[in-house]
Formats: sequence, C-alpha cells, structure tokens
Amino acid sequence: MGNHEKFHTFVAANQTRDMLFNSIQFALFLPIVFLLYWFVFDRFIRKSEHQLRLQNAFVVVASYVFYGWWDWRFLLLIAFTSFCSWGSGLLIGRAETRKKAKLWTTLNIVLNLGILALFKYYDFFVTEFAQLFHISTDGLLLKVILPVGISFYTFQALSYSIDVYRGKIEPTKDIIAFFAFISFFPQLVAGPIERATSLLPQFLKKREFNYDTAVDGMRQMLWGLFKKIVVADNCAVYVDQVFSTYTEQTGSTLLLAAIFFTFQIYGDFSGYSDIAIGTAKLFGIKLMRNFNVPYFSRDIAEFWRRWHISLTTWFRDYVYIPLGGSRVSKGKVVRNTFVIFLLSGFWHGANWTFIAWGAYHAILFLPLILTGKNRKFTNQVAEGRVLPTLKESGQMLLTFFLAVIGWIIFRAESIGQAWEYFQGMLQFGTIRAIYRFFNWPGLWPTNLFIIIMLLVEWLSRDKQQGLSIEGFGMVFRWVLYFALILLIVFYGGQSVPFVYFQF
Amino acid sequence: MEGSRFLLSISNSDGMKKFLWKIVFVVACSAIFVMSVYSIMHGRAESTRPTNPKCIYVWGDSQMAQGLDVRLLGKKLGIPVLTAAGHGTGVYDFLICVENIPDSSICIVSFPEAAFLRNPSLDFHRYGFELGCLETLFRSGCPLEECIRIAGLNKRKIDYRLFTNIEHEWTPYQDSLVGTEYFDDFRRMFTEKKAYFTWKTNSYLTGIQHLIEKHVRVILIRYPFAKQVEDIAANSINRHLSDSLKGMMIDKYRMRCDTIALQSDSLLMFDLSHLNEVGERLLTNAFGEAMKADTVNNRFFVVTVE
Repeated sequence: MGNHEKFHTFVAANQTRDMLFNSIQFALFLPIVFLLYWFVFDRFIRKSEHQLRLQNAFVVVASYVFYGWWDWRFLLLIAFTSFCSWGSGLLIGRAETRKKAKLWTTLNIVLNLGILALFKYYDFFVTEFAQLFHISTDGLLLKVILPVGISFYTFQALSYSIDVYRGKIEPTKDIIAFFAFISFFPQLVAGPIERATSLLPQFLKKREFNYDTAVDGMRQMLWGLFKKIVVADNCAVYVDQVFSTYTEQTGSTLLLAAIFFTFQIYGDFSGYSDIAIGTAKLFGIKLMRNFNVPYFSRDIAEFWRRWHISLTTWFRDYVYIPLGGSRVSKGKVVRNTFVIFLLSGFWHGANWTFIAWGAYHAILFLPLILTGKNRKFTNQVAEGRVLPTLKESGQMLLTFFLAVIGWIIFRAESIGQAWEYFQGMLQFGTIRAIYRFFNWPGLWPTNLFIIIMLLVEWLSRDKQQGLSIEGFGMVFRWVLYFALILLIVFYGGQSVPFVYFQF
Repeated sequence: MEGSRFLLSISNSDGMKKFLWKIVFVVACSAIFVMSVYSIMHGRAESTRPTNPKCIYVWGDSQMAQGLDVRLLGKKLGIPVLTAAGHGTGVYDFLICVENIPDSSICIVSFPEAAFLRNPSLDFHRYGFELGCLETLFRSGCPLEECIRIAGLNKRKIDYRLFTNIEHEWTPYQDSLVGTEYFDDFRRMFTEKKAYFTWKTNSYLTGIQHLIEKHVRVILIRYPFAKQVEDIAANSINRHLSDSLKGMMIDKYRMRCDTIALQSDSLLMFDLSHLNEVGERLLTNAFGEAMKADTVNNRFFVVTVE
C-alpha cells in the first residue's frame, strides 16, 4: 500500500472525527476559542497576576482539544515530547560544562528523533531490510498509525533545545508557555515549523488585540480557504482519477494531471499555511511566512527559498550550516547539498519516492551552487513592473516545468510507478495538454480558479500574502471578498484532507 | 443578538468592537447573499419539476436500473414510465425524487437492501439540493457531518430533470455470472451490524409516508441477490431487520405482498446483486402482468430467482 493510499485509508477511518481548517467543527471551534481567549482570559482576569499563564494554559487546552479531535491517544505523545524538550532546555541551561550541555542536547535530539523514527520510519526500514536479506517481516512490523503532525512538532521541539545549547535563547522555566509554543493549534499539525527564538517569546509576554492585524488575518484565512477548497480540492478530483488509472491514460492527460497536482499541492499546503498564519494573527501571534510565490521562481535555488520556507531554513540552520554549508571544498558542498535534499525528501515520508524527489532536486541545485549562481535571484521577479520580460517568463516556465517533473516523483506510489508515468507522459501528443488545459469544457472551472490564484498572487507578489489589498478601494475589496466567499461555497471541491497532514 | 451585545459591552477596545461588528456583518451578508442566490436558482428550477400524474415514476438503485425495462413496461401498461433509478443512489436521492413526484401518480420504488447496508460514503447522493430533504435526513438520525457532506455534494445542483425514459444499455448478453469478486463485501454487508441502517431506513420510511400522503400509489420491489449471497443473507441479522421493516410497511400501508419467482434455463444474474438482460426482461413481463391484475392497491413485490 502506497503512502497516499495509506493516508486516505487513515483519513477515511477518521473522517467523522477530524477537525480540519475547512470543517464545520473548526468553524465552531475557532470563534469559541477566540471569544474565550480575548474576553474571559484577557478581560475578566485582567487584574490577576496569573493572567498570562492562564491565557497560555487556555491555549494549551484549546490546542489539545484540537489535536485530540483526531486521536486523543497521541496527546500523551505530544505532552511527553514537550515535557522532555522543556526539561532538556533547563538541564542544558544549568549544565556546568559545555560537554554536559552537549550531552543533554544530544539526548533530547536522540529521544525526539527516536520517537519520530519509531512511528514514521521503523516499518519502512524493517521492510526494506527484510526484502534485502529475504527474511520474513512476520511479527516485526509495528503497523502503528502515524500521529498527525509529528514531523512538524518534533522539529519545533528540536529547534528549541539546539537554540538553547547554542545560546540563542534562554531556557524557559515557564512550562505552560513552552507547551503552548509546541502545541499552538494553528500550526500544530502542518506548520509553519516555528523557531523557539521567534514564537516562544510571544507566549512570554502579554498579547494585545490589534484590529488591523486581525483583519489582515481574516483576509489571509479567506485567501487560504480559496486556495485549499476551490483550487486544490478541485484539482484533486482530476489528479486522483488520473493517477489511479495512469496506465490507461494518454500522454497529454498524464501531463495535465501532473500540472494539476503541481497546483493542488501548492494550493493545499500554502492554503493551509495561510489559514494557520491568519488564525494565529487573530490571537495576536505572528507566525513566519511559509510560501513566497514559489511558482514565480526563475531557477530551482530561488524555488527552494520560496517553497516550505520554514522547513528549508530549518535544514539550512540545523544541518547544512553545521556541516559547513557552501564554504567548504567542492566535494563537501556536493555532500552537504545531497544530505539536506535527501533529508528533506525523507522528512516527507518513509518511501523511496520522497528520497528520489529529494535527490532530483539536489541534482538540479548542484550546478547552481557549484558555479556560485544559487543566489542569483534574491529579489522579486519583475520588480517595479507589471509584466515579466520574455527572458524572465522563460526562466519561470522552465523552473515550473522542472518542479512538475519533481511532483510526479513525489505523488507516485513507487519509483516504478513514477517511471511508468514518465514513459506514458512522453508519448506523442503530450503537447496537446497545453491545448486541452484551455479547451476542455469539463476542466474550465478549475482552470479558471488556477488562473485567478496565479493572477492575484502575481499582483501581490511583493506583499506578505495574496490578499494584501489595503491599498485598493473599499468597493473593490468587498466585491472581491464576497466573490471569494461565493466561490468557496459554490465551487468548493469535495472535502479532501490536507496533503501535508500525512507528514 | 443579546449574546453579541454582551460581548460588545465587555470589550473596552474600539478595535475589538469594530472587528466583531465587521465579522457579524460579513457572516450575515454572506448568508443573505448565498441564500438569495439559492432562492433565485430554486425559482428557476421550479419549471423543471415533473407535473404529469398520468405517468409511472420509478426510483431505485442499480438493482432497479438494471432490473426493470421501463420502455417495455410502458408498452405493456400503455402508460409512460419514467425512471430516476441509478447506480449507487441512496436514501437522500430517494427523498429528492419523492419531492418531485406529482400527487396522485404511481410510483415504483425499490426496497434497496444494498443501499440501506452500504457505507454512506459510497452512496451517490447527488440528486439535487433540497433543504427539506436534508432536514428529513437529520431528523431521521443522520449525523450532522454526513448531512453537511451531502449538502456539499449537491450545492450546485438545483435542477429536477431527474426522470427519463432512457433504458440501461446492456453489453451483449453472456450466459455467465460476470463479477463475483465482491462476495466478501456482501457477506460483511449482511452479517455485520451497521450503525447507519437505522437512519437510512427511517429516512426511507419518511419518504414512503410522504408519497402516501401525496396519494401516490406505491409499488415496492425487493430485488434478489445471487444464490450464494442469498444463502448468507437468509439467516443474517441484517436480513432479519430488513424483513421486519418490510413486514411493518406491509401492515402500515396495507400493502398487498406478492412474490415474483423468476425461472429460466438461462442464468438470470449479471453479477452477485444485479439481474442480467434476460432476468430484466422476465421480471418486467411478470411485473407488468401483475400490475395489470391489480390497479388499486399499494403493493410489495419480492423477486426471487430459482
């Protein structure tokens, strides 16, 4: 059973219990938590010296309710991870020698990665090992359900103890604030993976409600919902059909489905991030940007500075730079590049397809870093202009196409399937996909939604989020809001779980 | 309203007040906006509802779609027969059809054991958006999430051209049982307790009751399964439950109960749950004769294959 299949089986089994951002449960949960957060724990307990601690405690309770909605049994796991990381922070801070501090840091890393490995990778390694040596896996496999978001909160917990060890942050004694930092519900299950240096201090000081921030948060949530419900979920219908019957499809259909998946995964994950960041703004918390219009990148290096920023910067800061980064010999640069891309691929799941996807991007990235051109494009494309030049358009198209190839490997259930998919795609007539993209009546609504998404994001590419439209007139803004709401209500595809929940 | 006043009164911050008012405004306007669009769409769709009571209307799942030749039946009875039977249709689809069947007409409805026992996620449930039908589902015990899911499936479908006289297209007849790969699914279907059976049958009963109140003559048909499935179903808990339901309906609506036993040298089943072309023709002929023999009573036909 492939990863996607496993994930859908898991989700189907939990369908009535889950609390997705696009679910009715969350639509009820969010206003209740918002009102209690600002009115009960901010207003009524204002004179109490414990106000901040109570508000943080409420964040923890709300987050645990949110998480427990999937499977309450894993609350123990997240509490255990949080407690160990908090404790290790204190022990690192109190360590008399650097050696002891290193020991506590290492122990926490081993513990966290051990838990992650047990739940996420154990069965994969046992199966691969058994296949290699032709031994039976009977009784060896754990077959445990992957706890939702384990890769996200584990990395967040790791960043804390490493940053304490590095002296970037003081260890906190406030266990409640720390638990809130690890479990803050908007970003608990699919990121952005926050750093302790950025998020933890926000739980240690009083939050003030800010009207402009809250309105901006609502706009970002609306835009995220549009990307998820209208773009990604509609693409998913077509993508799932084609990928499940790929052997019977023509080359143009396969290419079209790959392009749709490219937009699906972007709409899905960046939509989730937008909703998470927007929700956090309602609570006076600022989360880091996770996507910065990656499909407008002019080369792969720029793509990786704009895609899943919280994960790529995590690997950069905690793996790549400690290994020497790019300021080492060329041989080591090659090694370091492969290490972070393979790790990044493997982080997504225990399947060779993810590793191959990482390797593919490493191969694309290497020529740029070895020739020193990896930071060629650090500005925004077509800066100060409405339209890109012909050269920029070509660069963007090429990068997009390279990303599409990568997403086929990522989406496939196995390397063999990916290979067959490529073979099928390279049949004569593939070019028809471009024609069909614009001429297939059944696909028109979805194409239109993709075009709307790209257009809005192009126009706001130098802003913090797609719907940063404060500068536009009131009538235009409100027409846009209601148009988006109408599209979400009427054209939302069938509810599809967020793709990144499986990681 | 009192609640929002309370919340606004306890807020000192002008920003918070403004924000809450804005949220209330957006939610209210969105609701009005969406409801207005739906009202307009409903108004436009009214003209698509069937109005002729001198027709026979058919609803059922795939067993009915593959098991009754509507054109042949129409010829036999001399009256148009229109069908909305389709693969995978469920009780929500039935409720939608009930709303659209004209008063005092005749309605042939399948007694869909498979639809009662099938996981709701596999039901078609795309016959249109009707708040009243969603409410009936909810009142029958259907979970709110499922009602919302069904509403989502139908949100853009407000059109009541459900009944047609298009007949199921058969592939050339083969004298063999084509598909038996779902045998285990059928075994589980009959032998395992299904939590959704209650709300599905309650919804179905509400639909039948509604038809009776509209003075519609109701003809129910229970289709057969292949012998190996019938053998398992015979003593199963779920067949026992559906038999109880059948008995209750016969008593409540004073239905005349008959058995149509299909007999032939040829194989009559297409797969484990559907008649084949020969079976369909045999049943349609026998059913037509039975319909001619009694033109007054509500009926319950149990079809068996021997």
